Amino acid sequence: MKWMHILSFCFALCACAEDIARTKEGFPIPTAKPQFQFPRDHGSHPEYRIEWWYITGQFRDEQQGRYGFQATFFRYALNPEGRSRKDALGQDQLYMAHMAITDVSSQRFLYEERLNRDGWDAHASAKDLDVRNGNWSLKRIEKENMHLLASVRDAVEMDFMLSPAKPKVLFGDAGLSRKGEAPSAASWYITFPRLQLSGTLRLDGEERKVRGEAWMDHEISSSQLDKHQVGWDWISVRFKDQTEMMIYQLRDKEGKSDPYSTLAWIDREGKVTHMGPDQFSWTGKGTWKSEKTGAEYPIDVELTGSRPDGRPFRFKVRPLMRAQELSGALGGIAYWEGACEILEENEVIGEAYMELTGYSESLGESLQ
Amino acid sequence: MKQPRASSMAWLQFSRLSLRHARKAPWSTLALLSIVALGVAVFFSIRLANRAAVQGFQLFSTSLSGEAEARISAPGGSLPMDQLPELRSHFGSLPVTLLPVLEATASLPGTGQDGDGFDAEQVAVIGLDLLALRNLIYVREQAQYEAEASEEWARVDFGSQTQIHLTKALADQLLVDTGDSFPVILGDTLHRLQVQTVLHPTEFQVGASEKLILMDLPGLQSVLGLEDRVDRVEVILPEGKQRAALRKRLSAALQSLPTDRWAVDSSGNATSSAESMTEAFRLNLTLLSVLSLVVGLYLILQALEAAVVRRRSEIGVLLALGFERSWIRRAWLVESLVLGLLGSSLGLALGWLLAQAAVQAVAQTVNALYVSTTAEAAAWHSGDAALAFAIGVCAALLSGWLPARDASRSAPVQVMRQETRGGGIQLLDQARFGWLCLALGALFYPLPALELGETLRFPVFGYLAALCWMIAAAILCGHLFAPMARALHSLSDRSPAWRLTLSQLRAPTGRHKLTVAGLVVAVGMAASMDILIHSFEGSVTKWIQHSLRADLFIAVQGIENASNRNRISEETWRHMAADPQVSHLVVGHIHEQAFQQQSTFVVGLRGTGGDVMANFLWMNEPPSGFSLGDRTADGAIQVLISESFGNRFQLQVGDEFNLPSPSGVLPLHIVGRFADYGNERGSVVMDGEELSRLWKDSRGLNVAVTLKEGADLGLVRGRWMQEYPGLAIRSNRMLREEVLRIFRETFSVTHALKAIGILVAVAGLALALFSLLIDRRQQLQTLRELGFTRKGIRHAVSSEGLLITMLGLLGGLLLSLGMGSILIFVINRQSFGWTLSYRLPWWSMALLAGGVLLAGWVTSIGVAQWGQRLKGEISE
Amino acid sequence: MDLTLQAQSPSQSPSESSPVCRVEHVLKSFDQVQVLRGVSFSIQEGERVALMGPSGCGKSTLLNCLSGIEEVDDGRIYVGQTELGSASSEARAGLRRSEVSTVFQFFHLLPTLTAEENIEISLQLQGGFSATERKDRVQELLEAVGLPDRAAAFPETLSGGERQRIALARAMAHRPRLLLADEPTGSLDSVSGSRILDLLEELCAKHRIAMLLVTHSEEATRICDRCLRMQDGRLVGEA
Repeated sequence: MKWMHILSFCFALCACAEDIARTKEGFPIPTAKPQFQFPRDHGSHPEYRIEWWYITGQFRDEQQGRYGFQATFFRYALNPEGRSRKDALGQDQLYMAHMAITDVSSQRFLYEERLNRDGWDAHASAKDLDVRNGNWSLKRIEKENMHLLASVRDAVEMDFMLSPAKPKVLFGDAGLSRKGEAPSAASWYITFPRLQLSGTLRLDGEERKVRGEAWMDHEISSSQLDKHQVGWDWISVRFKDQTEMMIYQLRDKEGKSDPYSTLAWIDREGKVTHMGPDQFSWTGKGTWKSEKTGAEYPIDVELTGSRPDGRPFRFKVRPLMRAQELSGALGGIAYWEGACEILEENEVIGEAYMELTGYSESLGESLQ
Repeated sequence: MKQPRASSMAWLQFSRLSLRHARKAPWSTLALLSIVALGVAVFFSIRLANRAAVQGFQLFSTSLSGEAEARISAPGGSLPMDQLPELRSHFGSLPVTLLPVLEATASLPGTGQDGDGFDAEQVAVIGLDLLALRNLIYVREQAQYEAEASEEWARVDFGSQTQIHLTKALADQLLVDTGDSFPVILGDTLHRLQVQTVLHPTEFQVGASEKLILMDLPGLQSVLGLEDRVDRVEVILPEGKQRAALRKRLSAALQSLPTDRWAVDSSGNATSSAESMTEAFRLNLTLLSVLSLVVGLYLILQALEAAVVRRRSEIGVLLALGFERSWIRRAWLVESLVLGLLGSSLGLALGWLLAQAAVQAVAQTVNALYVSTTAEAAAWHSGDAALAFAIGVCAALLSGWLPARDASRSAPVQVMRQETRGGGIQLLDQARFGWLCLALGALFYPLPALELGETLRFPVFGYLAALCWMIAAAILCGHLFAPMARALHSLSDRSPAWRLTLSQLRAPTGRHKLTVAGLVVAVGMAASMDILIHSFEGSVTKWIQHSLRADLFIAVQGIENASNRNRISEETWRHMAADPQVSHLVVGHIHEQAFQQQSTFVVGLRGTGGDVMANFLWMNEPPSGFSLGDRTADGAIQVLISESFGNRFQLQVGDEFNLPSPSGVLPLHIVGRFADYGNERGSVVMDGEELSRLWKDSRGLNVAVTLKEGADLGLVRGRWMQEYPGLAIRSNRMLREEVLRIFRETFSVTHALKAIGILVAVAGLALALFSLLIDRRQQLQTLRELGFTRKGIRHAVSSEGLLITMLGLLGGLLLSLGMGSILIFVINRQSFGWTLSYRLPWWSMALLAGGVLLAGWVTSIGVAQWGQRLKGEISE
Repeated sequence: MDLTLQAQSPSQSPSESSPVCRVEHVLKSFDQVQVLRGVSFSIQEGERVALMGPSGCGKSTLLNCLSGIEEVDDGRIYVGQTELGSASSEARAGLRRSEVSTVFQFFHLLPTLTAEENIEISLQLQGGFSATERKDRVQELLEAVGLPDRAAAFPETLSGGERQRIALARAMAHRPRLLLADEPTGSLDSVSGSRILDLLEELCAKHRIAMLLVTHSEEATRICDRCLRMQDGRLVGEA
């Protein structure tokens, strides 16, 4: 495999020539004004340290049974020379994946984690969107339609087609999303804010046709958080009026919101408007405590601020189920990620997925 | 008048008489109990030991992952990992965990420093994807999965070639703990392994006594030089309510796997392949244990029968008092039932203890013949216990039946003073039945083995023939008493004791016949086993002399069978070939190979000079000018097959067949057949270079080195031993000795059985003589009144015992000739596929004869000593 | 019939003054039950003595002591010159082979030997005869008891009377000086019994064999010179 080393040496030289900034471990830091090329950039970027393809959504079966789901594929590079190799069990990349389903009607939450090294049973193509981890896979099939195969333990199998109802958006500065003061705390952030979902759900051995909508993030970075940051809260909302909203709020050790926290509005045409932390507030109103991890999550949330047109808003986030925690037995990070609905003046105006991290331990250091 | 109930009268008889007899004669009661116990114990212990030895194969990964639903391997030996994605996509969205497994063996150095690595202890090294293994916590039931994600596993150094995890048992043996390192031989080289974690005994359900090393798969692959190859893939389904439904879908998916590339073992039982491998062996062992139980049954029968004789007068009194015969029969059955229950319980305990000892012997046999097993202790098995218990009780009842009938037929006390002569079973009086059995045996002899399923051929007719001849010999020998007495008649005039003895044998009682039958069977069994083993040894010796001609034989340390995963790297054997002292060498490559759903071996021979073909002991020699690597006109590879291969797969010279391989299906053409007593699963031999190419593995299992004329063997050996500490380097003589030693180990179980058989037969003789004397106590009194001295009586009784023994011995030896031929030409050939030349082990048989005679004589003297004091009934 | 034709018996020329058997104050008990309580008597050569008494009075025990099968607790028994108490077990067995013979109520023939062999074994035990001598002598004995044609018969094929005659022949074979007869007619019908008594009388008289006859039957006393009566282990009278 000598040529591999030579090749990576060449890449390194090129990188130097372009004067790409690097983390102290030597991972490249996402650059400003990225020149994305699709579908290549839907695929993997193995030289960067962290990457994920993150789908959350809600759907209903023919009997109007309501469900939320999360399908997440992570990639971690173990060393900066890491390239996606052809080894059956590579030593350079790790793939983690989380699958979860919320069965609202029976108030059941099931999840499963998986951690594999790069190789025969887990891989992400660097050419196109084609990620797999065991029997779970996410693949672009034509245009920007995607096929998701997933399962949760013995009870759930999902076979979904996801097709964009709206074009993808690039958050931040043309796709570069800053997450902190440190120059390395940044990511490339590509999102499909509204995907039409259709397919089959096999639940407890019974197959059901399902329809719904989903949100997908694809983020690439080498260091997500600053050291002083302990975690983040994130929410994606799909309003009934075909607009969307996304918030990430970075929290420091004192629990205060970081200046790099962001709210983004997406209008019907897909135009994004960003707002800083001074233009919105995220307030926890009620908590749920996990018996398993002991973490206490502020899952009843009030969001206030103003819309792009200046009108103020006051939204209430209502989880469809309280116990939607993934305990992180493999990844080591426990977090709450669950299906919610959004209410304004007691009226449901959209569906949401909320993520609350760093409530059991600080993520700043583990994700450095 | 009210009729008393039979059962209550039987109970009365049992409680008032039988129990009191037992109390009055505690030793004979104990003896009776121990006989039942011994029979049950032998049966039980052999089953337990057997089970333990087979369970030693239990693969670690399976215990790690819970129950694997199926195991997938390549029909052509090892499985390239680049085929695994295809396997994954074959299962689609089905939530199966696929766990690739690579197995190796590590030898623990410390023994075998003289290069004789046979004694080096072997432990299994399992290569698993340790990272993926953690995913299995989600495969288990919800309740468990959080707790099992052990902290230590998060620190695993993935892909390390030195970091290992080991079981508590092994850590304790090596006296190592986390952070320590220790040397092992892996592949052909010495490695230092560092302990990263010691697995807690309960962690991952590893058995407390298992000695295993666990290593990350890529690390083990690179240590062994087997990049991207595994032995098999374990298929695991998540636990839960849907498992049954998933299992159905999985089995459909498994069935649609193309069989030319994948071999599926979906029995769900990791030990199944080991089980099927040793099936024939275990069946034989079980049969032997049943046989020993039958002999035990014979003893019980004799013992109860003797008890009837002892208490005949009591029975007579009961009859005279108006007891009905059926009550008496019932009471005797109750007695044998109680005997069976107590004796069987005792037998289970004894059997369990015996099993602990026997497991070593069985494991040794299994190790030598098949694959390495780590069995150390036999665990209790309730199923086997229940079976042994039931058999013990039934045997006691069954053997109580004849004496019970006998008892109920006793004469009332009024005629009791008549001399009684009887005992034994009537069947033994039927000479015609004996001749019939002899003829039946001859009829069964030439019949072929019975096919039991696809993988098991069972020589049922061979066993039937042996059984028939055994019965025939047992019956017919009883009819030799009179001729023998006639032939020895002249001794009658020599002394009154001889006259008396010969007069007893002239008209033998049933008890005489039963005794001689027991001796005949025991001696016959023992001697025929001797004949088998001796013939085997002779053939093996001849084979060794023919096959082992080189000066030095090099193999990896440890058990010498194909299950030893260690191999000699190409670099090593090439380096040896280049040694200036070496004339030439032959490298043996070997792969385990599935063929027609059975496991066999492909062997490749690669010579760097000399005549590779000279080492074969031909049964069908290939045409002159043939050399390995030749192909037929249409491209089929020309191969040699071993005799057992031909027998197992019904192939002979001239046939063509297709063998799967990692490089696809190979057309093969058989040009020669050779004798090979090394394995019973058979082997196909082709050119080593071709094999390396097709199986993508150039490592050798062994290397036979011929040195140049004048080279110093000791010097070369010493030098190489320094250079390759992981290799066992043996001289020709050492190897021959070792092969024979392993061979003898293989038969270590049979010696124990032989001893038990003889012991039981001699105990039967003692019992018979006791009963005869009790039967004749009045006669003894008469003899004394006639002026017989004690010595005279002792002489008469002991010579009677000796003559019975001699007759039994003679009959047994005759029987053994026939049984030996059945064992060699029918049973052995049908179950192992080996041709052996019939050889009589004169020394061993003479020793056996001497031993039996001595045992018979000592026993007879002992009984006679006791009998000379036996008082007649005192009338007033 | 002359049974002295052949061998020289050691008992050939007895002294008239010494009795064949002398019993002096014999005591014998089994398990603390006193069976013989000081029995004394003697029997002269050729004398036939009946011993009578109720069951369990110790008659058979006395016979067993006389034949040396049982040892006495106290007192002395002389057979010829031999004192049984000081003789070894072998010596006592030797006496049974030469001086003393017993016939039993239940005959005690060895079942596996023919009539002929039953007699012959006795001679064989005594020793000193060649095989042909033994054969001849057996033939004579068979003729003496009137069964020359039953030589090859096994005991089980003989009648009770026949069996007793064979037993008698066996007892006479080595020409003892003392014959102990334990109810020899006890299991025979009166005709057979009577014939056995005649035979006993005839043979003993002819060879001057002393006999102690244990019996319940008054009829049997007819062949005896005197009659001892026994009760509770003691001799209570003589007729």
